[in-house]
Amino acid sequence: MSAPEVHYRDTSYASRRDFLSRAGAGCGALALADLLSDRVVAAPDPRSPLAPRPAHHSPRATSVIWLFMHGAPSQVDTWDYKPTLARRDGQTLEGFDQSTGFFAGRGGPIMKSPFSFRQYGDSGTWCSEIFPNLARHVDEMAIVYSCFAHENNHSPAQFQMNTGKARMGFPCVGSWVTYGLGSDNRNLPGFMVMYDSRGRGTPKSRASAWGAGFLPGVFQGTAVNSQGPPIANLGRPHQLTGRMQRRQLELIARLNRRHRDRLPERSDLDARIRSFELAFRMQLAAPEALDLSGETESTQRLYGLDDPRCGHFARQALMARRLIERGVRFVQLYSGGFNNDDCWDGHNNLDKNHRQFGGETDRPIGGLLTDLKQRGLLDSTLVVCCGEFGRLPLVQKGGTGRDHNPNAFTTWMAGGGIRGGARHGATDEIGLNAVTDRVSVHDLHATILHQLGLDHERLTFRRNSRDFRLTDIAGRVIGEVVS
Amino acid sequence: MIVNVKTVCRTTLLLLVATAPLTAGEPVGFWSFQPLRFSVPDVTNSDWPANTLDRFILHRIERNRLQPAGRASDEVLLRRACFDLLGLPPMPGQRDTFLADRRPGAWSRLVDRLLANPHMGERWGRHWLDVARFAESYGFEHDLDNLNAYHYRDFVIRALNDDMPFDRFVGWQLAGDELAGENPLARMATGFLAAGVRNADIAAVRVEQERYDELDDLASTVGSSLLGLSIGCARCHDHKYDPISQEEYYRFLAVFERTIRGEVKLSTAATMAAGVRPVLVAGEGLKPLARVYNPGPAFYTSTWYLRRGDVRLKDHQVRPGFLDVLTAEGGTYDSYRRPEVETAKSSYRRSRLARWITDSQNGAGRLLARVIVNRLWQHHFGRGLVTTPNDFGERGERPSHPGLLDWLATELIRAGWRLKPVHRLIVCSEAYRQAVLDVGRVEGDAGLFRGRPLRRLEAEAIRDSLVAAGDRFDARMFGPGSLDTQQPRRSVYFRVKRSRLDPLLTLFDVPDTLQGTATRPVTIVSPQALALMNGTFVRSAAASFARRLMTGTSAPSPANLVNRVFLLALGREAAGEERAAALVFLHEQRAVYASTPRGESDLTGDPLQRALVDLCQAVFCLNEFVYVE
Repeated sequence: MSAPEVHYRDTSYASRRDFLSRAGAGCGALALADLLSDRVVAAPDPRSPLAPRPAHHSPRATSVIWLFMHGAPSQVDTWDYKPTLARRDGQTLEGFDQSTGFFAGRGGPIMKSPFSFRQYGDSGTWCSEIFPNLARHVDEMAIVYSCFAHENNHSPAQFQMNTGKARMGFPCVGSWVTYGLGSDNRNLPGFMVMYDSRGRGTPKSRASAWGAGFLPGVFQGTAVNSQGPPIANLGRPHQLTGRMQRRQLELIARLNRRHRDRLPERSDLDARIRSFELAFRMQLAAPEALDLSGETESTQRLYGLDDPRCGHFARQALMARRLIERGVRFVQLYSGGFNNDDCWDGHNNLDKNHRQFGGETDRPIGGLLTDLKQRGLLDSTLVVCCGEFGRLPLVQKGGTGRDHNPNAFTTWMAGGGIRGGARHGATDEIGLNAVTDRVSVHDLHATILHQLGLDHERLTFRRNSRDFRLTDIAGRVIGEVVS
Repeated sequence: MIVNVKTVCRTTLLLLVATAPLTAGEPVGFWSFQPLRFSVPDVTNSDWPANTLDRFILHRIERNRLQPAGRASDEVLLRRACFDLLGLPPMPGQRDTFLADRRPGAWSRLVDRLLANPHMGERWGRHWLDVARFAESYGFEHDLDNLNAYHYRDFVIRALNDDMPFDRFVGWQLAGDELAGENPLARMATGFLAAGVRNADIAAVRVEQERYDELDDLASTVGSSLLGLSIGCARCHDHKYDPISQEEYYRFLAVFERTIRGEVKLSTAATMAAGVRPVLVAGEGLKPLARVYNPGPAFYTSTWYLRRGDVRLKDHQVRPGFLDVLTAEGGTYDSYRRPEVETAKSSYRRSRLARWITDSQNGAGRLLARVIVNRLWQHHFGRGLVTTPNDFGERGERPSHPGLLDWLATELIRAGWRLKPVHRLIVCSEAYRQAVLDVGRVEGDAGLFRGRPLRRLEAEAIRDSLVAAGDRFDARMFGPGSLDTQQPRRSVYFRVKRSRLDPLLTLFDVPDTLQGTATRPVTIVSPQALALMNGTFVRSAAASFARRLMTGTSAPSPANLVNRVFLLALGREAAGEERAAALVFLHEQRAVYASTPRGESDLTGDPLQRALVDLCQAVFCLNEFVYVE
């Protein structure tokens, strides 16, 4: 059973009908009883655009948690250990192309990592001192050392990492995935995003980072607001009690039914009637999913909710697990806010910057992996961790930081059918360029889709008469990292 | 199993029927590149057609052994025409005038009144702004504002209200500075070329690539919006389906080689109160807009053919030029030179493009006319005669009524490119005035235009209806927009900041403005319901509506109020059963408010008025409120 031939079209009728009437014509009587009973109905609605859809092949993962280290961590200071840097510290790198980084001409001499490295796990994986918790999980991870991007500034590179294209206006991975597979929870959005909750702002590519591009808007990510109510419009107007609002919905349902009966068999009208039922249930389901008060103290401590340094990210990591548990398909978490020093963008002082953001993420992510595993969720949850590119192994003139480097960065994955302990690709001696088994962003995307049971060459959407893919005309599943 | 049978069949058909893809340089017989041609078909039921247009529609219906749907009721037609032409529900005065006019020709008189209504430019301007990917900020990381970009929106509204000939409308957007530089409106029109995204924070090594991206946006937008051609597909290789070579793509780019964005001070007397204001324009010799980080030039003085679209793979320099497939003998680039008016101020490349693109003899004018009349049809009928309005090429759909499309295009050109006569032909037809067909027949019949589809209103029309129901609707036109989600003006006067699109409009499928959009998707999702049930904007619109009803009704009895709610919000009287249900609701909510006062600052403590707010909000949530027959 597969659904590859289906093309949603952006032309008037076809798309709507595809979404709304695929389980046959109209639906019967309105499920008013359900609506009024507060009962959270679990059965998915096959007529919804977010209804679960069969994959192309048997999936290894059913959901994704994508940890986006915004601002671009330095590969040579995190995972890609390069002892040569210490030996050549302070030497000028002959032949270095000064246009590689963002600031042309500001590439200084080679700079050693300010951090110490040790080997961990059965795999003997090198890991920087800023990740003491993650270090305990290296045997669950597949690490790809040879990633490269094409852009050397943040927003285009983030577009590329999220959509495959360095330009604005294309659907991101989470949108493609929910478009391809739907979602298993009809009371929650299928694709949810959390960004910095310390008031440091959105990622540099802003809300376009989780935009649906040319896919229908229903597939765009729902951002959990970092302050105030977590999801827009969830709380009823303060004038209304629950009972009063229910009466209001009952009136709406009654008048809608009369209208629909005058215009029979209109699947759109039925779908819209159902959307109010679902909305009513969502008012209960979403706050419950994001409420951490029911988690035990030991779970909260495991993620680091008690630690002022990382508590903010810990809460989001824990929410991510709760969302996945409830059938949300794709959760993306951003570490760091908008400005350079508010995220992993260590231009000025790499030591200080990466210690801070290592500290903000290490315990929560380590806790997440432990928690997923102990609950049996890791097998079905693909965890991906990366930035939008890497950093130069050189010092950026005028400080002790590093400039951007699109030519090498590290991505790790875990769970969801990933081969733990796999090590793939390599950079050169100083970590400047990915040289062995190079992995493009399209390859990463192809691999993520593959784990979810989707063939990146068959997941298409027709727009302006062309079939678009997440991976454009490229992409190769990194067979070496999947089990 | 989800299979779109139609798509599969269509694909198969294409494989069987389509000849080899068209390629550059070969003689071309593809329909959209042909001269306009039609013959008015015969029909059996010669009483039905109100005008020639109807004969094309009826002919196809009869050939399928069917009959057109009956005519919709006056109330339905009034609501339909008001939303289609103005994007607003009928105002009480409009309703009274129309329903009281019992003389023959009442419909035609209504249509004339609506066509003359200044809200029309706002409604149809918004359709054009979708195609033009209009926004007032530049996207990417910094999403820098351009607070002087709204003049382009004002130009569009003004031009459509004035029924500016479409060839001038287009010409000014491409080259207003070169064609009529002394006219401030003509320069505002060039905002079309300045509306695309622009990365303002780029590394030195990326400056040239960025410039080619900017030029690509221009070529792609001009191609899809004006010609229905995906010119941008020839950036890296010859177009795979349409006769556009990569060489032609770069020649087309070279037309815009020296064109950049900038600001000039212009008189805004045509749109706002008299005065001189800075206006975002495109042109040559302008001071470039600032970048956050500025390592290179705003443009280059040569345009290169880039292999695989890569600036590192420059092949050879190209000269400006147009598309061969749309050019007859005598329509070459040089033939559009006008040495007598050209000065050293500009290269006048774009004015040649403007002349070529509107030249219905030797240039692209016929296709231009086909594409725009199709857009008019699309927005009046819910689908185009060509259902891919931005793609009239090989991969696009074929017209369902090729003769009708060409007839309308011919009428447009004959009417001196004025659009309102074409609107008039469409809205005054019997085809337009049909009722909605029942029992789900529309799907199979959609391409016949037999019966009307039920259409959900666009985001702006929904929001504008909410505002118009209340007592604070602000109908002022033109001028700077606002980011305030509560603002009481029409939605077209939101400031379009790419990273901060209005959340309510976004829920109802407004485009992301990054590329031109021909057809918006229509999604139906529960966050829309949540916004209507719980959102502060909708709640305050309901309070505003209730206030208007209480103050505007001499004896606000519950029964009177219910009648007025239905009449104003849905354009019809409540049926007995509906009135009863609404009255029970009003009674029950009122009883709760009377027994447990809960403060609401913007309302009096009157429990009836507070219950009325709940009723108004419920009516805003109805399917009928957001669907038009």
